[in-house]
Amino acid sequence: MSGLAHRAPALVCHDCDQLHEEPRLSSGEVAACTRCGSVLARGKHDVAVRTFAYSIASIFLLALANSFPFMTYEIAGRMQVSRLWSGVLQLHSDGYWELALIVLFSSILAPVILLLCLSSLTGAMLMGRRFAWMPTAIKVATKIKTWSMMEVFLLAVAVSTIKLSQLADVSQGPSLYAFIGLILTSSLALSAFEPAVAWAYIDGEDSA
Amino acid sequence: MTRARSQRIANCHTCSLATELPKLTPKEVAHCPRCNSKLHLRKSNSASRTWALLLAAYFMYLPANLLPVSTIIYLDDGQPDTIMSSVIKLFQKGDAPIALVLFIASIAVPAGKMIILTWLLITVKLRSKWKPRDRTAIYRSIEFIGRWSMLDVFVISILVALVQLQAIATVYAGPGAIAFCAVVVLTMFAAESFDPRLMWDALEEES
Repeated sequence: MSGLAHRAPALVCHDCDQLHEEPRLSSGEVAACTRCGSVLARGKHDVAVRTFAYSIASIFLLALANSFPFMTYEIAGRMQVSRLWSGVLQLHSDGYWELALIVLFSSILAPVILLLCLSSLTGAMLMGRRFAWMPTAIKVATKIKTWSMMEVFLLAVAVSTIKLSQLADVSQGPSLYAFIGLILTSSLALSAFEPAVAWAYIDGEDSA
Repeated sequence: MTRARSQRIANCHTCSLATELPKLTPKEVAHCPRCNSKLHLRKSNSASRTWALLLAAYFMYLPANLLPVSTIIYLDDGQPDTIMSSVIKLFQKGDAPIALVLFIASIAVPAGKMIILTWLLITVKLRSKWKPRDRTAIYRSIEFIGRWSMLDVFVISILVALVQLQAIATVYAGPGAIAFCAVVVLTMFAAESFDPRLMWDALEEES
């Protein structure tokens, strides 16, 4: 009950459906839609090696960010230490499992999945191997990107610190610094990555 | 100006491969030769799906704003706060910049996003030809900005974890936070299911 469509040598705008010829982009060039101005493609260099390096660095920082205290809160000589995932556990034990689930997914799980997809994919590209799971890895990485919200979480850390600063002393733990580094390296990994290059690699064009 | 639909060229929503759609009976579905996703010329049932998610978001918007989202108890003193009352309290305490950030992320962005999506859906329904390029840019910006509304949910999760000193200070989450989180997630899905190409389709119908 299904048909396989034939390839058409064209690039179509996702926003307005305008047909374009496939552009040849050199590094740093951006192809914009002639009709609506949306970005169609970005020319990037060394996609596999740069994405691999940044995502491996991110996984390392992610492990660090989960290993030490994230923030401490001190009031009248009593101290409370929290970790990156403490909010998830507390929300869960307070009975707000829906919130716990969303926070766990968007601040920890989605980034982990995204980084694992990017690093394994580009790692395989660097070794010149093709595996059956690679299309799935590209699909998951592109779909999960909007749900990985570490930078929103970091803004929340700043807001909470200021909100509490009049009540008590809030100080930052080593995990917070790893987390800031993680946001930096993972956004570098995302901007170094280009799904079109990965798809072309799977198609058999070795231009990684 | 040629558009892909007039040539029966589908743009794979997953991997952006352009393909010529074969002739299909209504029950058949074409699959992308590269990533095997189902191919459509337009996102399926885009308008009704977006309306449904948007109406659900409007529905959740009431409890999100009327129920308390958190309670900060300091030395046995403190009452539940709604989103609006916590922003007002921050203003009164003199934390204007933070109050402004929370106001934008928790009140202006979700409400603005729902109003803009409703307006975009109405312009599609009316086959409006008004500035499709600007409407596309507005759509792209709400799709991009929506995730920042999760700010308040994260603030609550950080506060409940950090402030658990029973006798002195404790922070509790409130039921409004669940409704608010639902509004953010529903509007994110609504923005994703909206197909901006529908705005451009109206331009061609009479020419």
